[in-house]
Parts: sequence; C-alpha cells; structure tokens
Amino acid sequence: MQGIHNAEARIAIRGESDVARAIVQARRMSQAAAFQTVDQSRIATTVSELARNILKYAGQGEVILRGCVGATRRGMEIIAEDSGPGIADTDSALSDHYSSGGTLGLGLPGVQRMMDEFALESEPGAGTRVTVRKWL
Amino acid sequence: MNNEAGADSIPVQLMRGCLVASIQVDLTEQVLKRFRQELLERIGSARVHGVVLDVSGVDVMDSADFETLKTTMSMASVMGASPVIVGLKPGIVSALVDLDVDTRGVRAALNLDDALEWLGAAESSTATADPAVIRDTHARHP
Ligand SMILES: Nc1ncnc2c1ncn2[C@@H]1O[C@H](COP(=O)(O)OP(=O)(O)O)[C@@H](O)[C@H]1O
Ligand SMILES: [Mg+2]
Repeated sequence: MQGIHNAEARIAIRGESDVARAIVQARRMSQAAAFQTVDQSRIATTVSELARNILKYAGQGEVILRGCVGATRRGMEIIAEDSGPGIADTDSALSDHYSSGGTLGLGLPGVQRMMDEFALESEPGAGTRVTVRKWL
Repeated sequence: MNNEAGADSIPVQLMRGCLVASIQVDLTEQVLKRFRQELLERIGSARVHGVVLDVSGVDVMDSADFETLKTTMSMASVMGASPVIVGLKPGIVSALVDLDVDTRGVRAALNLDDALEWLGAAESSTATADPAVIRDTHARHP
C-alpha cells in the first residue's frame, strides 16, 4: 500500500465539530498507514484530547496530522498548536490529575502514555505546541 | 423506537423493563449532557430497574467522554436503575487504560443479552453470575 509519509492534513480547531473532523481524519490516515486497530484508537483518542485542550484552554488553534519517517520506520505525527495563554508550569500539566479546568487532568499524561514520542513546548502568553509521534 | 429525532440524538428503547441506549454518534459534551437528561427523565417516568449503555457503535472515547458517561451511570444508579455498559471496543479499552481513568465500579457486559439477563436476574433477586464489576485497571501496564 502507498504509505502516508507524504500526506498532511491541517484542521483549524474552533468548535466541537472541528474536533470531530480532526478525529475522523486521524482515523483515516492511521488506517491508510496500516496501524493496528488498537493504535488507531490511541491516535484518535490523542487527537481528541489535544484538540479539546485547544478549545478549552486556548479557544482556537490547529491540529496538523502527517506521516513521518524515522531512520528505520514510518509513523504518524500529530501537532496541536495554539496561540493561547500557554502553560506556566509544564511539569504539573504533565502529571496525572493536574487540571486548571476542574476536569480529570489525565489528557496530557494519557497522551504521553499512548504515543511513542511526546514533546510539549509552551510559553506563557504566547501559546502551546504539543508534538507527538506513533511508530508503526 | 421512541425518541425525538435529531441527527445527534441517542435512541433509547424499553426492553424487558430496562432502558437500552444505543450510542452511535460522535460523542460531544452537548450530546452526552442532553442524553443524560433524557435518560434520567425516562428512568423517573418508566419505573425501569436497569439501564444498558450500548457503546458498540462508539469508536473514540476520551477521558472527558468517559467521565461524563460514568457520571450518567452513577446518577441512574442513585435513581434506582442499575447501569451496565456493553460493547466497549478493544481499542477504546486500551486508550482508557492508557489514560488511567478510574473504571472501578463500572459494570460491564460483553453484549446486550448478557446485560439484560443479568439485570433481569438481579431484579428477581435470583443469585446469579455478576457481570464484571471493574475493580481496578490502575495496575500499570507495560
Ligand atoms: N492548549 C493548552 N493551552 C493552555 N493550557 C493547557 C493546554 N492544554 C493543557 N493545558 C493545561 O494543562 C492542564 C492539564 O491538561 P490535561 O492533562 O488535558 O487535563 P484537563 O484537560 O482535564 O485539565 C490543563 O488543566 C491546563 O492547565
Ligand atoms: Mg484535557
């Protein structure tokens, strides 16, 4: 099957329907890349958690989905970025059960567990970018 | 079937004294909160003893979706209707375990028949096999 390593989708996130759109697109791409169904679910759930964080904490932003190529393997990369308030204490944000929004606080740490690579960049006042990868 | 249409609504049917909800739409907070309200109203008016949430049509459930459904289930239970969730897909279960959501106390069955059988038996208070009450998925996974 022709891979997805050169495919890219950018989804502007402004409302719940955009979150749903990003999830559908993520599932389509992970399926095309031949991820196992359990990993397809992890990818879709990751997109849901990150896109909903954008909505909830930044109001709007963007989710970028694309194939990626490592030295010996292929995979999928998900970037969720926004120009919202940023995260002052990233260590706390990454720990289980920390939430400034009164919710479970399991999104970011859960995404970290679901994915193979995880990077959180954030500057208070400037925005947040989460970059994750899942390898086939 | 007896629900006010709406593309995003979740149909709820009465079966053997239980309400069965088949969730087949994308889960959003709005959909889930409206569903909760409708379900609780029907529990109140229909004197049901059980509620089955059939999620076999759900592909993605994030931490917020799960928490909202779990709260709906405990509300049903406080109203006197035992809640059972059926049809969780393996992919959803893996994601929920990775997210480390608290699944303790959530009663799950493999399919609708099992769920209704257990609810019927529980109603007539015959001793019977209890569907799995998930006690702890918090044991760390590899
Ligand atoms: N895009 C974002 N912009 C600003 N803050 C964020 C963003 N994403 C996450 N956060 C912060 O990180 C915390 C933890 O996020 P998460 O683990 O998803 O849990 P929850 O969404 O339940 O609070 C949030 O409560 C919030 O303070
Ligand atoms: Mg979150």
